[in-house]
Amino acid sequence: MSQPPPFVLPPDGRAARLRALLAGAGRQRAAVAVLALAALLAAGAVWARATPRLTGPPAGPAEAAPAAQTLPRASPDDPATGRVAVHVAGRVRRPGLVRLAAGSRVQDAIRAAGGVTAGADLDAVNLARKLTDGEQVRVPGHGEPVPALPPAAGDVGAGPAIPLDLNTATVEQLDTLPGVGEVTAGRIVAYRSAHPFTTVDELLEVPGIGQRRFDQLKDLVTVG
Amino acid sequence: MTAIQPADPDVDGVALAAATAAGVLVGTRFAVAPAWVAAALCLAVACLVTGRQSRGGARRGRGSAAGILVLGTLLAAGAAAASVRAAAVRGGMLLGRVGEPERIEMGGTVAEEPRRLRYGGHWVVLTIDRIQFDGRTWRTRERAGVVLAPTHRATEARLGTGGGERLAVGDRLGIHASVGRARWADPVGRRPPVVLRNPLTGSWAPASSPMLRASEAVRAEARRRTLETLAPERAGLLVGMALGDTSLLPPELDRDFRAAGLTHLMAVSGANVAVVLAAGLWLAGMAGAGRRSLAAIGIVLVVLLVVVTRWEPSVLRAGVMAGLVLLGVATGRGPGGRRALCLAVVVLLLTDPGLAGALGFQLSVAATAGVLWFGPPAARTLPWWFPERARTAVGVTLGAQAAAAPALALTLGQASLAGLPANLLGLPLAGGPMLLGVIVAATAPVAPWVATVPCRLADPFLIALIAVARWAASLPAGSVTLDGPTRAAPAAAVALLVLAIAVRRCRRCAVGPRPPSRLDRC
Repeated sequence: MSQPPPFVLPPDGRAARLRALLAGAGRQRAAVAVLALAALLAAGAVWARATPRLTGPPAGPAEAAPAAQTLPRASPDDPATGRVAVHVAGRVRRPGLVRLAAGSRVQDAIRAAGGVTAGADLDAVNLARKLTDGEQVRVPGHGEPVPALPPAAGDVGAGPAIPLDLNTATVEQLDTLPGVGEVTAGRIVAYRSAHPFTTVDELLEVPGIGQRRFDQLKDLVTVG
Repeated sequence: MTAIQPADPDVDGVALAAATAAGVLVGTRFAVAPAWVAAALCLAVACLVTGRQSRGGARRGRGSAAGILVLGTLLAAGAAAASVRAAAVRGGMLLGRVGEPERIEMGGTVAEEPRRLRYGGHWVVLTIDRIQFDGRTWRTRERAGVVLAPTHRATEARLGTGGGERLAVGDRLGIHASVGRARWADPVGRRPPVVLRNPLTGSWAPASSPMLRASEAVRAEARRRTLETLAPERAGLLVGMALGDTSLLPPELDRDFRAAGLTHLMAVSGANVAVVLAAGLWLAGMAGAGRRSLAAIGIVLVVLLVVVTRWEPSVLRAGVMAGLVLLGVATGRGPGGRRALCLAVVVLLLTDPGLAGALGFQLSVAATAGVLWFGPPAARTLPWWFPERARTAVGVTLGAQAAAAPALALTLGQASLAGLPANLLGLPLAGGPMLLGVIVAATAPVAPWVATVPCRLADPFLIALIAVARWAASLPAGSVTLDGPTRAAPAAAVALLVLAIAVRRCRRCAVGPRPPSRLDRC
C-alpha cells in the first residue's frame, strides 16, 4: 500500500470525509425525530398560551362578548373588540345597525348601509369623522335640519350651564368642554374605566390636564 | 471503501448543532409563516420515521441521504421553533398598544433576576399574563420590561443592595402603566419587545411555586450570612461566583473584573457544575454509591444548582451538558464532552430559540468549544519544559479565551488583552470559592453558624482574586475598545488559528501516523 505524497489530500479525501460526516449525522435519526416532535409540541404550546383570550364577563355595558374569543390582530384603535357598532339613519338605502372595524369613518358606515338615497345632503355630514361605538349617524336630506354636533344619547348638548357628569359623559360630550379635545376626552374615559371618579379634583390625575385647564373645567363638570 | 469510519470524530455532532442554529437564525431573521415551517417539519419527521434504517455496511448513497434528511429536519425544527415564537411576539397585545397614552392594568410574574442599573433603579423583565382595559380582562402571555425606580412602591426595601428580602424571580407584580417600544428587542422576544412606561402602582406577592420560594430563601440566607461574615466586596464576589448573584458586587469591583476579562467567573457555568459535581459525587462514592445511583445523584445536584442559580443561559448550557454526560454514565454508552456540547446546543435551541441571541449563551458555548477543540492542540504546542498539569491549564485557558474573543469583540467591541494573564492566575483560585459558596448556600438556611466556616475558608481565595483583578485591570492597554470594522479582528484571528490547526491535521493525516512524542500525552 503506497502512501499518498505529503501535503496533498488523498484524491478521495474530501468527499469521503463529507460522506462520513453525513453518515454520522444520519445515525442520529431516531433521536432527531423525537427532538423535532418535542420542539413542534413545545412551539404549539407557546402559540396557544401567547394568543390573547378574553376572560370573565365584560364589566362594561357594551355588547355582550362571548366568554372566550380570540383577538383579531390587535388594532391600535380599539383592541378590546376590534369592532364598533353604529346606527345609520336618515337618507340611506338600508337604515339600521351596522358593525365595522374599529377606526372606520362615517363614509364606511354609509357604504355599509347600502349608500345614500336620492336627496341626501352629504355636505351636511363629515364623511371623514372616525366612528365611535354606539353612536348614531344621521344622513339628512337637502333642507332638513343638520343634526347637532354631538349626536349622542343625552340631550346635554352644548349648554355649558349644565355640568357634565364625569362618570357618565360620552367622549363627544366631553369633547365640547373648553380646552378638551378628542384626545383628552379619550384619556378621561380611559382613566375612569380604571378608576371611576369620586371627586372632581381627580381630574388633575388624568394625563394632559394641568392646573390651568382644571380651573377652567371644574365648574363645568360634576361627579354623580 | 464502503465501511464508513468517522474520519474526524465529532464533526457530525457539530453539523447537527450548526443545522439547528441555522434554522433558528432563519426563523428569527425572516418572518417565515409558522404554518409552512411546521408543515415542512412534519414532512421531514415522517420521512425520518418511515425511511428504512441504513446500517454501517449500506450502500454509499443511503447513509448520505439519511444524513441530509437528519440535518434538514433539524433545520426545519429550529426554524419552526423560532418562527412560531417570532409570530407570537409580532401578534402580541402589548405591542398593539404601543404609543397609546393611557395606562392599563397588567399582572405578571418576574421572569428573570432583576438587574441593577448603573443610575439607580432596576430593570425587571416580566411575563405579563393578564391585561385589563376598557373594563375587560385579557389572558395572554408575553414579555415586557420595566424600569422600577428604587423608590417605587413595589420595590421599596425589596430591591435594596442589602441582604434582605427582595423582588425575586417568580414574584407576582400588578402594574399600571402605558406601553412603549423597547430599543433592544429581539424578534423571538427573549429581550422583551415592549417596555412599560410610567409604572404607577404595584401590588407585590411572593412566587406561588414552592421551589422558587425555597430557592429564593436559600439565596437570601446565603447573602445575609456572607455579608455578616465577610467584608462587603468579598461577600459580593462570593455569592456572585457561587450563585451568579451579582447584586452585592460593588460597581468598581465589577469594573475591574470586566477590564481584567474575569467577568465570566460571575456567571455560573461549567466550572461551577464541575466543581459541585466532583465534590458531591466524591462524597457519594465514599458512602458506597454504585454507578447508577452516582449518576442519579449527579443529575439531582445539577438540577438543584440550575434552579438556585436561576437558569441563566450559561448554567443551562452547562447543566444540560452535564446531564447528558451523566445519562451516558448511567446507561454505559453516552456522549463524550464534544458530542454532549453539540447535543446540549441542539436541545436548548429547540426549547428556547431566543438563547441563540443571548450573549451569555454564545460566550458559554464558544468558550466550552474552545476548551474541548482548541485546548489539546494548544497544550501540545507549548514547549517541552512545561509541567503536565500547567500544560493542561494553559491549554484550556488559551482555548477558551481564543474562542470567546470573537463573540465578545463583535457584540461588545471589547478585547481584553489582560485576560490571558488574569485568567491564568485567577482560574486556579476560582474553584475554591465556587465550591465553598455553594456549601454556604446549602448550610445557611439550616445551620447559620456552620455556614460561617466555609465563608472564612473562602476569604483568602477571594482576597487573592480581587488582587489579581485589580492588577490586571491596571495594566496599560489591558483592555481595548474596538470600533467599526476592527471589531471583526479577533474573529479573523481565530478563523486563521482554526485554519492553521486544520491544515496541520491534514498534513499529519497525509504523511501518516505521527512519530510518538512524549508531549502528546495530554
